[in-house]
Amino acid sequence: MQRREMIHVASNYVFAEVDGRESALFWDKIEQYEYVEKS
Amino acid sequence: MECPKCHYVRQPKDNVVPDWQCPKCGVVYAKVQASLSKFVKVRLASGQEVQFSKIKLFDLPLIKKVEVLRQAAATNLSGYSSGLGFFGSLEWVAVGSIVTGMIDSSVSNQMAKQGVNQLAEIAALSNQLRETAAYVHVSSIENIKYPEVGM
Repeated sequence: MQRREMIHVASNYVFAEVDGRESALFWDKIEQYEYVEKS
Repeated sequence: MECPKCHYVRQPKDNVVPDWQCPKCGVVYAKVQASLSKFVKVRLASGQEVQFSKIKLFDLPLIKKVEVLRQAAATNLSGYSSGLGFFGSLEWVAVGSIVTGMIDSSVSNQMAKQGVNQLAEIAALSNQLRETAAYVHVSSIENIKYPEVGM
């Protein structure tokens, strides 16, 4: 399978699917960022 | 058993479908549960907490191409004010076609004309960027723990 080089940060925000809708989250408005992995 | 994705509750009549698969939407229960347990949690300056498990990814080579063109256009158009002061973000790319129209009528020298052509190309590439972007689950993104800000 061809692996495409993709990136999630365009400049100052990231597009995320929040509650089924697209939301632009601005990095300078984010105070805390955490990746969670529940076992 | 309730499907973690579509919330369909498995019925006795669904025995023809394997017990690891949702009879309604077809997903594999374990796979969905595994992906639901991995997500990004952020707290915004407003105090609001947001969780998400999918992020839209953009084609990196295309973004780099736009960036090169944008810098060239900025050089060629130096001295022309568009009134839009946000070089450096995707919004700027989105309004490229509008800016093109604004500047096109007022320029005369060769460099500026070249800059206008570059803006038109940026506008076309920005559409291509949007069309090729795709949502990807955070669990399949490398280094999601350490986002690189400010590309």
